[in-house]
Amino acid sequence: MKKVIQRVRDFKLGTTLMLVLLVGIWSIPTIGLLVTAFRTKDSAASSGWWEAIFAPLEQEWSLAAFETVLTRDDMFGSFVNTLVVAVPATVLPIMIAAFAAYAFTFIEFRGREIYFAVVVALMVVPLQAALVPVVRGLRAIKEATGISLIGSFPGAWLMHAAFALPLAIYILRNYMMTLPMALIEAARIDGASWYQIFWKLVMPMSVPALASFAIFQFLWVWNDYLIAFIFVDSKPVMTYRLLRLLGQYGDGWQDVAAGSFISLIVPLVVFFALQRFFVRGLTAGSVK
Amino acid sequence: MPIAETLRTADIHVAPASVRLDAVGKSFGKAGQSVDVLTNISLEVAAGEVVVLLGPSGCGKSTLLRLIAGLETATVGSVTIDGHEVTGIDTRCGVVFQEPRLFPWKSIEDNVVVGARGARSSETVAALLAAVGLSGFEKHLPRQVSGGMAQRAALARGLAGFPGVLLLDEPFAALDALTRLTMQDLLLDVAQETGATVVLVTHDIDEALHLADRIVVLGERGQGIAEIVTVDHPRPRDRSHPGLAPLRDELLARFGIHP
Repeated sequence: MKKVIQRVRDFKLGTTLMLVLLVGIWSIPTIGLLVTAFRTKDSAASSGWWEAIFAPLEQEWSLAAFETVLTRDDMFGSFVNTLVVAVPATVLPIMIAAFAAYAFTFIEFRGREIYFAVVVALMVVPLQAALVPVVRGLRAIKEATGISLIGSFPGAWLMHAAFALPLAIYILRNYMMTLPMALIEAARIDGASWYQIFWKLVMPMSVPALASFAIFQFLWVWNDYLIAFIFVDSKPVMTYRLLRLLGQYGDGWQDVAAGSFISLIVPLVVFFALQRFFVRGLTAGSVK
Repeated sequence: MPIAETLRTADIHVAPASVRLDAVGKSFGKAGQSVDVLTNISLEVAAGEVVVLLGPSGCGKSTLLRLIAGLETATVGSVTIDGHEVTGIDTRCGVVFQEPRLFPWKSIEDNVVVGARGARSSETVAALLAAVGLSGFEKHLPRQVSGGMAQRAALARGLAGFPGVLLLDEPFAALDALTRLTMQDLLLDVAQETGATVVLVTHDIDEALHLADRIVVLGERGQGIAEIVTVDHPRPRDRSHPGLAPLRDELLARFGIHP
């Protein structure tokens, strides 16, 4: 018995060490960014950030980078632009994917498996490969109808939503497959419509999957440069501004570091806000 | 009988509905390797009658119940309630399942309210909760009460809608012996007071004898109805009434037990 306890303890120690090591390795770039953000242009250019950590007193520290970020250009405007891109580009695919996954899981219709296979197969299409056809298509729509989706937010929303959908549908359907069919049957007996079952049963029970996908999608859109650059060029987003901060000769990277840290705040807030929804066992106790 | 009084004062009556099964068969699985669970079942349940389905494990009792509720579709034959064919999930039916199937995020009381379909007064819900012995647990969540209590809550939910046809799938199997007797009487009270038709599945011969107007004994899987026993005793029944003994022996003998 003692041996077993000892072994469990060893295992825990090993796990902890491993985790600390991994967290340490993964944190290195972020630490580098943080240190650099507080350095002056000259010291950032003359020595590495790790040298600054080991000899902190011989360094020049300053908040100049943060000052630059907050005062130069229209950083706040870009911040708002990024939000305007990111929020609908997160909500839209989740809404559509939830409806689709619900149908794929619970409603019997002809060709269901084939449609699902096609949707999943679409995951392999790289976004970059589709850019030119999509832009041409949107331009054709503009010429035909006068509705402009390029150079505006809706274009970016559509693009982000469309390319998020296959994965979102896949994840949500796989999750919904695990929901207790017995409960849904009981609800139908009590007179619930498909629509009510979706909103009152399936959505509340799918919150963990919805939240995790929301985090992924929001992070991806928030950090995206390519789609924002192509579709919303008139309203520069954060990533665009960050690139500008680097300067023509790449000598502004302490500014980029500071800007990145400011940009990091929102994803962090989103992560911690949604993390509490990863509640396991929400459905525990409904069916034996 | 507080529940009977409540129902009388609330003046709850349901449209009595008859159930008719016409040469019903049900197979599961793909063609070629399908299993015929039910074959050629014809049965007529009069409005307000209490019919108990009795049979060995896997003989299709639950499937028969699900066919009436519209949770399954018959492979052949037809199921009609009050002369109208059952095509989808049928709102004239209320079902109490083998498991509680309560919504885990709703309180016991709210779960019963769901079963009441919004049409019933809170007094009726309170009376039902009291009748199943759950007064004081209204605000508890399903996971905070025992399995038996959850099952009683599910019974209250099934009754709360006052459906024309009440379908119960071994509703008392998870209850302790004494509670089971109380719940049987509750079911009879509600059925009598509202005039609902009851179809109940059980393994328990004594339960069948206490509740049923007629006991439908199903044969082994796919063999259809083996026998229909009419229990012609006035209610309320005495469980140890000597007149029931011959019937009990007959049923036991049918299941291979000779007293």
